[in-house]
Amino acid sequence: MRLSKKSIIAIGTVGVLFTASVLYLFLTQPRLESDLIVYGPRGIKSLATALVMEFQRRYKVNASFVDYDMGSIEIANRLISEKDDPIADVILGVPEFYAKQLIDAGVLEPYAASNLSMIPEGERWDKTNNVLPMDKGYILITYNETIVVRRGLPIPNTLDDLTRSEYRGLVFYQDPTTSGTGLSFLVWIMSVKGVEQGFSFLALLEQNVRTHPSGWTSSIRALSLGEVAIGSMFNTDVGYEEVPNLKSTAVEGFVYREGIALVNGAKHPVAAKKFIEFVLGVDGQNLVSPAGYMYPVNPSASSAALSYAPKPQTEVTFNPATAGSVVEWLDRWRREIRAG
Amino acid sequence: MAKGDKGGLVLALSYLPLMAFFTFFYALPILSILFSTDATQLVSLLGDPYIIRLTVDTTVQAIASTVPSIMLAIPLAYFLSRYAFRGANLLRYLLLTPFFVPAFAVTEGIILMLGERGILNQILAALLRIDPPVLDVLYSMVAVVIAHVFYYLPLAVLILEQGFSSVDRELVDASEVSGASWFLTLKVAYLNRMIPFVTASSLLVFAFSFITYSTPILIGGKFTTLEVEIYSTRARPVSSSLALFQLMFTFLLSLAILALREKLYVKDASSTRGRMPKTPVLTTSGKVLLGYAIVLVAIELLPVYLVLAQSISSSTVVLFPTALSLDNLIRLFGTEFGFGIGFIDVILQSFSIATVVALFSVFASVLIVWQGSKREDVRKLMTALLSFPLSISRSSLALGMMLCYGFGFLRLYGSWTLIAAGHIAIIVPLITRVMEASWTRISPEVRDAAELFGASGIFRLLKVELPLIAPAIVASFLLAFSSSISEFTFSNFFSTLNLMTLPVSAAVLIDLRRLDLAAALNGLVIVVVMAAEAATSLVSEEAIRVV
Repeated sequence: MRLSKKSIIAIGTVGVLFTASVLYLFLTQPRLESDLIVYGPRGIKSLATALVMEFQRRYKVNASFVDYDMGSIEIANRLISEKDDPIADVILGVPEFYAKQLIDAGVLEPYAASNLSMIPEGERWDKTNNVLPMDKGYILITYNETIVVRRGLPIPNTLDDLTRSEYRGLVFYQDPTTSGTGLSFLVWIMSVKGVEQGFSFLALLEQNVRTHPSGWTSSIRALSLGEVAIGSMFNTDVGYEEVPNLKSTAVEGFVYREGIALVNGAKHPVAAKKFIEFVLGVDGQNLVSPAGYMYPVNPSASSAALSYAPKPQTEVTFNPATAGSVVEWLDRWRREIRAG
Repeated sequence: MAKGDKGGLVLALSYLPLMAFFTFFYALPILSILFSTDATQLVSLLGDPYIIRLTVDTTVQAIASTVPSIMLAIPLAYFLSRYAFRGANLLRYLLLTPFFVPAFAVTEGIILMLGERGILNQILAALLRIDPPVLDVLYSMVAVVIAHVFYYLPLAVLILEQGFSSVDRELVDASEVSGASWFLTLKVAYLNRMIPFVTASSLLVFAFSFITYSTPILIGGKFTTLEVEIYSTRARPVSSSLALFQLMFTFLLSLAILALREKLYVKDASSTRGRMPKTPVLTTSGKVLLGYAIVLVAIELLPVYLVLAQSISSSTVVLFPTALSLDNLIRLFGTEFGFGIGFIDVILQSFSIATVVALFSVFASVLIVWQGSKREDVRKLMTALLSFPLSISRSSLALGMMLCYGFGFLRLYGSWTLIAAGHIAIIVPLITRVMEASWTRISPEVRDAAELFGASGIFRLLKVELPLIAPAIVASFLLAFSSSISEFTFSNFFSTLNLMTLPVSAAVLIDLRRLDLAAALNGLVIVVVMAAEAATSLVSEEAIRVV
């Protein structure tokens, strides 16, 4: 059976199209490197990429950062589900309020890094050394000064101020199921008000809420468009150089702390430990402010890049008595608050 | 090899392509959901007030989408079936446009239309002489329902038109000659004939609205559906129970649609006797209906038009673009969607995935239909198995694929192959129909002649059958390509910051309220998809009809 010229051309074209497409997709797809695999949430990608690249450059270790486009809770759960055959060697960006779940699941290995003593005792929130402190940030009540002044509204100072009737339709906080900032805001409320009162507060607050942006960019966009004027943001967003004219009195704020941990059963433990030490060291910590807009926990590292940002006068930290409840809160938030 | 063994092998090979496809793309993912479902959780889910409310809300929304779609479609379907006029085909093609355009693009049109400064609020504000917004329906269930009416009305018209066309003319004449009242004529000649078609179209619009996903995500606000809930909880064990619940419900819906399809179209396709002839638009009622048709089609096209107009305008479009510019399009190329992913990367990823999906789907469909053409039992099984994906829950299937292949033994999450697999799962059943319709028309004499001259099965396939169905193959490729380009559910499930398709990047822009850039992107997608559809209809008119 001989093929006609037409058939050969058709088959050739199809072959070229298929091969070109597959080659493009395979060549551009990120691959897991073999020497070190680091898990973390998508929100920390900028900092994690900077850390991994610098580590690779210095120690000639092929390392990959994997976020699976997941938030901090989801990536932690991913690690738990891989307990029997872990892919990751290190997980970073573990929120203080979700560390207990990882520790209880037995997916972490305690590791007292050789340079841990450089971190002040007060910053070491997990005394078991399963999760070592990495960085911290502050969630504040912020407002678009242009809109607030134009409308003659009072300046918001505290969480309770957000429920004032004058702010109806102007308030926002991020969807905690998709945003780390939103999740921190939820934990802030639960930490200061307790669960039942916290949800009553959120239900009351919902009357003023215009929208729950999915993340940082959509929050800034909603603020820029004037759709919202008052809500929770990181302190490093205050002084944002373009529209919106974001301000905060920083009367109170929530301290969001996250850590880094060695995975139990890591396939590359030596490189993993080296990486953790690098992150805690001055060189790694110096990347925290410029690449992650967070504060380093190593006092020798610089946070000069964030000197413009106001720090809260009263700092609220996570209430460990409520540890282990975050998933339940998120579920309840989806059911009672978002769905109305 | 003994003769019996050879026969068994041939039989097994006949079923192989179909069963392999069904096992990999449906059975294994669904089994993964089943095995990861906790029975206690599933039972508690059935009594969970939140899930009950979600189910009720989803159902209410689906009914609310169905009723106006059908009511508005009936006069138009009647008009298209009853009257002959110049431009009828164009009107029909324009009407179908919103159905072929990706749902997320229509949804953006709805945002432009119903937004605070949208055309509806501007008109109402001018009429009532108050400042806009007069209506605040965006980001609610109402907005979702409105989008569905725009989206599914053409589908309802298409089905109902077939119903009206099949009304027995002799029965109508007899009824009129015997002096029966219009009500009796309506009851005897029309109602009896139309009820199954109204049921079928209602069921289909209901099913599609029930499994809605992109519309509530983009404009639902607080309103959410079971499909969206499965997506929202995808990283948690509860999602498997929800997915199983949704799969069971949509499986029953698919069964009902399949039963009606067999009853209506299979039987009806062969009979043309006594059908209503078309008359020119001369009567008053004909002219009124023509006016209705033109207005309805114009309104139907409004969201698509608004997106296209906004894509080439630098200022917000109310009805006409006031400042024509390619600025949005240019800025799109400078936009970053993920870490290091620019618009060019998104286009290349989308087009490469669509090419692989289209080629694979055509190859798989040819294999499946070829085997079906040789054995009636294989063809029957093929028809039955490939009908279910029509209205099955896509979120559930995506979750199943994620459990089975994303994080299961293949660990494909984050890879383009998982997106491609999702697209193939829903595209192969679609284009298999196109291919089958074309294949069944190959004259048996042609096959017999080839056999008489001693042609082998492969020779007959390559030299006789494939050349005869070449237009259907090209049409299938185009359809598969455009369907992959506009697919949202699987793409959204499996996209990461390094891997993104056009619909997902459009959703990112809509989420960021960058409607100008989203319009430019959606405008591009609309042009690509419509060009593919137009090319498809040129190559094979039948392909569009089958779809």
